[in-house]
Amino acid sequence: MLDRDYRDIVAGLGLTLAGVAAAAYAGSNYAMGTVSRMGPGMMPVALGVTLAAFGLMISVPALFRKGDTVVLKPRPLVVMSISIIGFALMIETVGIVPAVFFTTVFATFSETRVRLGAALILGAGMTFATWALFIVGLNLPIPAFDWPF
Amino acid sequence: MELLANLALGLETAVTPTNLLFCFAGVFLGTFVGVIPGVGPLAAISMLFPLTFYLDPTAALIMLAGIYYGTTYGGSTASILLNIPGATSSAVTCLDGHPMAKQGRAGVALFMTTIASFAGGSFGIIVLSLFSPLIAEYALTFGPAEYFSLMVLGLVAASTIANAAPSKGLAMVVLGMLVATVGTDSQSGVGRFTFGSMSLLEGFGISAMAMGLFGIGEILSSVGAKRIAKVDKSSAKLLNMLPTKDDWRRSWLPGLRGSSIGAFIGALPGTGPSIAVFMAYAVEKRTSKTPERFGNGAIEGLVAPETANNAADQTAFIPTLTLGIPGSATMALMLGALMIHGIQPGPTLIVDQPSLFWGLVMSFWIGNLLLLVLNLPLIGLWVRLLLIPYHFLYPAILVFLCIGAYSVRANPADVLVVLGFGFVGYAMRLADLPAAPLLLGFVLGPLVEAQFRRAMVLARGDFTAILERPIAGTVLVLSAIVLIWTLVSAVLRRRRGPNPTEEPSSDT
Repeated sequence: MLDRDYRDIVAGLGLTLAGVAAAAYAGSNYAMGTVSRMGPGMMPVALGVTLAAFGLMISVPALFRKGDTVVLKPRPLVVMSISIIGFALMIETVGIVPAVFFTTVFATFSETRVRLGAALILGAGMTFATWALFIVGLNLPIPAFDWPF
Repeated sequence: MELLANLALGLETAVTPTNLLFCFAGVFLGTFVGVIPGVGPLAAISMLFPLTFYLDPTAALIMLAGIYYGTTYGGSTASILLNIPGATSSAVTCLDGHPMAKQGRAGVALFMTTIASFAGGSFGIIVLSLFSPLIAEYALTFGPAEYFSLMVLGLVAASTIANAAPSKGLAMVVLGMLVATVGTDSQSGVGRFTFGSMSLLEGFGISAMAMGLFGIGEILSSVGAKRIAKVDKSSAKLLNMLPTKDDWRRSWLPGLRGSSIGAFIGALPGTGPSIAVFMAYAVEKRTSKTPERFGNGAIEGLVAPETANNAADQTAFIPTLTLGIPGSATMALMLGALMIHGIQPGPTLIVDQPSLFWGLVMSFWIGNLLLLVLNLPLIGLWVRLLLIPYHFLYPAILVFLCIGAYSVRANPADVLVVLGFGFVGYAMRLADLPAAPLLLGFVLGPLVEAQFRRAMVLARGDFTAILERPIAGTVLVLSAIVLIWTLVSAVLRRRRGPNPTEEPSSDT
């Protein structure tokens, strides 16, 4: 328990900042127009200001109440990101079969619950299932294998 | 009878072998994904969304709709057997469904849920086919001012009424609208917030956003967390499926009331199934002669919200299809799917594309029928699926999201955009900000802006001219009342309540 609700304070301030930044950028770069003939800048400025106001409505009351601690889990975040970025890099360079295998197996490392053997079997199963569904079944134009060498 | 002719046309469209197949595929996949604990309808639909891109519009929508009510049904299964609701609308199903399962009546509960879903769904479909043409005809007279005001009401209602913190819901709607301004401005052709990037001119895709926010965001926050509870295998045992005579006698009236409440609430902007189920449950408890049975496995407490849920699911299509205004984030996804296929829903849809509209309506019925025949024999399969541990499921879900994101435009960079939205979704979960209003704002934002700008041109820049129009003015005043009332009551609740952020775990 924290003496202030820092979660909402930070979230609200973040939204306020985003709103002010968007409104300022749109206001200085895009034509505002008039009320009867609105330019492209009018709506983003109005939305940015409104967002900033709601951000304050979230953060200000949070100053006066207690809050919970927020726990960020870095391991799944990093492992999942690598797993997804790996997919994006592999899909067109080496094909869907290795990409799916890598993504599935690597994603299991987010937790320590799955042993490597089980992960490899899961990866093989997923690879087969996606190959059967997307390549054979739906006939998507994705290469199954596309070795660069 | 024009209606009968239309229904016949719809039936003709819906029962073509391909459409029937896609309806079946949608219902099956929807139930399959919906059963997975913690995967709500939004996550399930956004995951399966890309599968429909390659179909023709009618088949795509039929399959999507099948996915939609399949997930709702699957969600109830998880609620009854494991007490883990997949969505807010199935949280009420837990209240009496899970106690029934604990008493060894899981089979009965699932059977009645299936029947109740079908009955409620059918009721909703009848309402949908009776009222849609009327509303569409009436809406033909609507101008930009009316559309603008109805969308404002929808956005305000959806972000405030069902949210514990209305200011957060409203902030998310506005943020969604702001994100939607990225890209080429439809009126002036100016690229906004593109920072010189060509690919940003197209703006963000709705599927990338939904998959990131609800799919990846969901996985990121559930992985590595403590699992809620161990699966109690004994409660998943189905001893007897057939309800007793007493069950039937108790159920039919609550079913009827639930259907009516659901059908009415579902059609209103911004309310949708989650409010319908709470209301249906409350009404049953209030009218019951034995309210103490509720929460201890009362069959009325299961049937009423289930019928309400499914009736509301169907009538939610009324504003989406006849006005082009989705009432919930789920409907916003449906609207997005339609627009990807080049269809702009609105009052002319029924007249211009009768086979699409009525084909869809009839496919709802067939889908509900399929749910009935699919689920009664397959309950055993769904139960077994529930017993698969999550750590084997999430890598599979992740792969599906990646392939889905890639296949939309065959562009690997889209996968990274989904990852980016996944980070946003995870951060929002940490900050306790609701993601559904963000999606709704994102879909409605460009429409609100276009209609508002048109309305202001017509009103020569005089906003009071919009307020003086009877329908637009009334709806705007109503939106203001909802806005003020929810914000004030949230403040009062906080003042009065002992501690709103009461936490179940201690701060050790």
